Amino acid sequence: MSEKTPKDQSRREFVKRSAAVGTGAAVGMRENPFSESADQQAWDQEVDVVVVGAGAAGFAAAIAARDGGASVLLVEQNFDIGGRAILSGAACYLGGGTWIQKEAGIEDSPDDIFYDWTLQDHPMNRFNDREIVRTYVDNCVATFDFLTENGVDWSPIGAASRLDSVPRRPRPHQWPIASEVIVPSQRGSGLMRPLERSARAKGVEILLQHRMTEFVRESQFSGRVMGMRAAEVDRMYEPTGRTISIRARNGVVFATGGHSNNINFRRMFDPRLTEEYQVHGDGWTPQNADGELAAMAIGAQLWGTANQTNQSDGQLSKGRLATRSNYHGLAFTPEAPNFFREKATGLRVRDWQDLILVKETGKRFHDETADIRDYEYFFSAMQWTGDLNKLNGGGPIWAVFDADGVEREGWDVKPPYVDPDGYFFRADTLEQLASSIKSKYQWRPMPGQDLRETVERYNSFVDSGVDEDFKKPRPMYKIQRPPFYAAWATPCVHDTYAGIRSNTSAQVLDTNGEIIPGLYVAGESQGGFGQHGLGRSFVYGRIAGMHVAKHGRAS
Amino acid sequence: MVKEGSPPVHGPHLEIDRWFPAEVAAGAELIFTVRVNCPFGCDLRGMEVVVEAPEGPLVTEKLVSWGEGSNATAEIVIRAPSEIGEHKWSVSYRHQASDPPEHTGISLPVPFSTVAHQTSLAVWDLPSPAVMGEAFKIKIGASCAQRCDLRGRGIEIYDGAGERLGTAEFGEEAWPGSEALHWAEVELVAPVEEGVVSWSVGFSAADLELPHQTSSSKFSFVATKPPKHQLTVEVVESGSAVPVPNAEVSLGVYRASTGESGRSTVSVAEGTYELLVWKTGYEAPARALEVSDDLTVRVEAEVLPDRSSWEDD
Repeated sequence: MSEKTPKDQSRREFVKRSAAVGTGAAVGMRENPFSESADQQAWDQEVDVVVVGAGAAGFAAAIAARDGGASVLLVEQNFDIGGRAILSGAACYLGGGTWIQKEAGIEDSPDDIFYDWTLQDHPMNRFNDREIVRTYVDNCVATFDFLTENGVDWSPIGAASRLDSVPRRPRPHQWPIASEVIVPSQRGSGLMRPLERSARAKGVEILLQHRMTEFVRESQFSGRVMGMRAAEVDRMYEPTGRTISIRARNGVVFATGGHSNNINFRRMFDPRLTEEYQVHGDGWTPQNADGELAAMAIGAQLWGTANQTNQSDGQLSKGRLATRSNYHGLAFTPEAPNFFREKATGLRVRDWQDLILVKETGKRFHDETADIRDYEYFFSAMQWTGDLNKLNGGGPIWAVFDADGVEREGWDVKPPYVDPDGYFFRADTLEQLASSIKSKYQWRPMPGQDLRETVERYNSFVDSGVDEDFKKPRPMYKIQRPPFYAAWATPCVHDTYAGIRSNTSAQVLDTNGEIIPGLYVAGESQGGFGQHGLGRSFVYGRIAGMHVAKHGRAS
Repeated sequence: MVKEGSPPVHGPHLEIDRWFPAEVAAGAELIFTVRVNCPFGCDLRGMEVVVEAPEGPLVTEKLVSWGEGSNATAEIVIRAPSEIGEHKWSVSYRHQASDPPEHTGISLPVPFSTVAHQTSLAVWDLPSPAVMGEAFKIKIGASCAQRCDLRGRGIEIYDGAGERLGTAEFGEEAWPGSEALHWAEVELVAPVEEGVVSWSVGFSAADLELPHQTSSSKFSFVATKPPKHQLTVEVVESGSAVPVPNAEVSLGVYRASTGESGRSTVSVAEGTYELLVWKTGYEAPARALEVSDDLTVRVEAEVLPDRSSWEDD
């Protein structure tokens, strides 16, 4: 167990100290990671528990494992902690009779949550693995207390969410140190900064800018997971060429944030989700299926795949405009430490009557006023556009509007609000606007005449009051006053709802349903529970941390 | 610099960076760089390449840079022919006597065609609605994709049957906020019949120095009877009766938005309309309204639940 309270380690400090506790061998990758026993491995450091991913599940696991007496190293590829949780609105599905519910006079029980989260009439709940859900509901109260004990300062509980029969989705207060708040409009820092403080105080070591590359198992499909390897990365996630091997005496918990940003991986569940669909927050947390792929490479099984294909709300977002990573509920400000990756805040749409949405063909495809989570809208957006060279994915979607629309919305159509590098264009006429659209996702030029005819027809609907094509309720505004604008409005991918199979102790299972000793999963990389966000991540992170500390070495 | 042991005659390759597409606008600037690459990495700086048309050389440029076995000219800028047609230019590296070891000449044919400049139109400030038989003004602008100066050029407006309704000439100033949109304000007279009107505007720049395509665009508006009555719509929150400012109000083709008092006033013609009120975060049912006199209507808008608790998570 580590005796000191370390800060983030520098590379030099890390390897220097690692040599003292490990074998002292050189840092580096070997050709066959499965061919050597633990004794023959070249480890740069040994700890009891390695946790991969410094988000909600990762911190819960790291603190719980440390509380259980284990030495813990938390590995994160970003230059800061927090994962997607720190970007979030921080609403945690954690009820069942928590103290904050009791203070508000709300009656709730694990059975009530279980009922809500296995309901057949909601696409997010009906496919859930009920064993995974049952353990979640039985641990919500303890997890809420755990978060409270580790410094989370809760604000009064609000109204019930649309998925809950009673209010059970508490949020913390905003973190008071502005420089540590990544998204000022969100409260995720109110969760993650206290947990960071607590973890550091308890002795959890944190290694930033290291991307996990593989889990090392005694042999590829049998034996214990002995540790993991990671590659150091720069601030753009590019490998620096240096690698590190860490032995985990008890085990490895991976909480790598899911697979939403791995195009090949996500297309296993929905082949339509091709490259044009960007991912919420990927400029902070890459969500590139690292954990899933590394686990599958040593035999782990996927689980709960119906959750990913069930049109769950929260998986796609209609989005903001004029910026690449355009989830509707997230706007990075220029002060955000990752803004160099994001480049623009994007434009939030107040009234979808102020624009039309067209495909790469310049043609409308749906009622623009559809809700931000309307799957009928997403189906239309992903509909084949008629090009034999592009059969999957519906291509980019562009919001087209005019100077009047800009005025009504109150937008400032300049950087940093818009990204002119492929995501925002302006022109004197509609034909020129079409030809100005240059994007790596716009694989063929938009025909200017088609865009003009689309707008002329739409404008005639404004006169007649009837959208004869897509039944937009009472089209309100013509698109007529120059200049004209085209802004990126392609749906944005959000949550991961399917992942690696585990038992209710968060131990990863292989394709025979057998435990892979020493490997645990939590958060969005865990399969079987289609719940948006933080509740399941905290619960199973804590479960994994407790189990790996107490039973990991014996498992 | 010559590689040791290389043969006495080298056969270089020739490449063009940033070459123009197969179709270019007549008279457009063509900007490119020529590279001559010797397979033995020879430094050919000082040697010349020539861009030629069938009628003779257009440009002769020296190779001025060398690196990684590649020699390049500075950026070459040539105007494409100003006439529409097919062209067969070539870019050549000629054998040059002062060139040890000997480098054979090489020529790259460059066929391309020149096309007329694309023009396009915008029509705006259309009335909503226009009063039957009465004059109204709209704005019409045209722009050339090559940003040509269209000041003083004319446009023509036609009705649905193709009859010319009016003409106008563009003024001196481009439309504010545009790159090169030349425009005019045009006075037209609405038809004497009620209904949706679809007219068109045409632009021809046949007398410009460079060839330009003609362009046309349709526009539509609604012609109505003269408004006779003042309709005041007062929008309040249901229950609290708090005024709702900035709510959009529509009564058929008539539009308005409420002020701070939650009220808006619209002049409308006699008739039966669908009254719609909308504002983000509110919901008010549509209702039919018969207007035969001045009228004040109160609309109660229901406040929708705050969705931010699940939208922004």
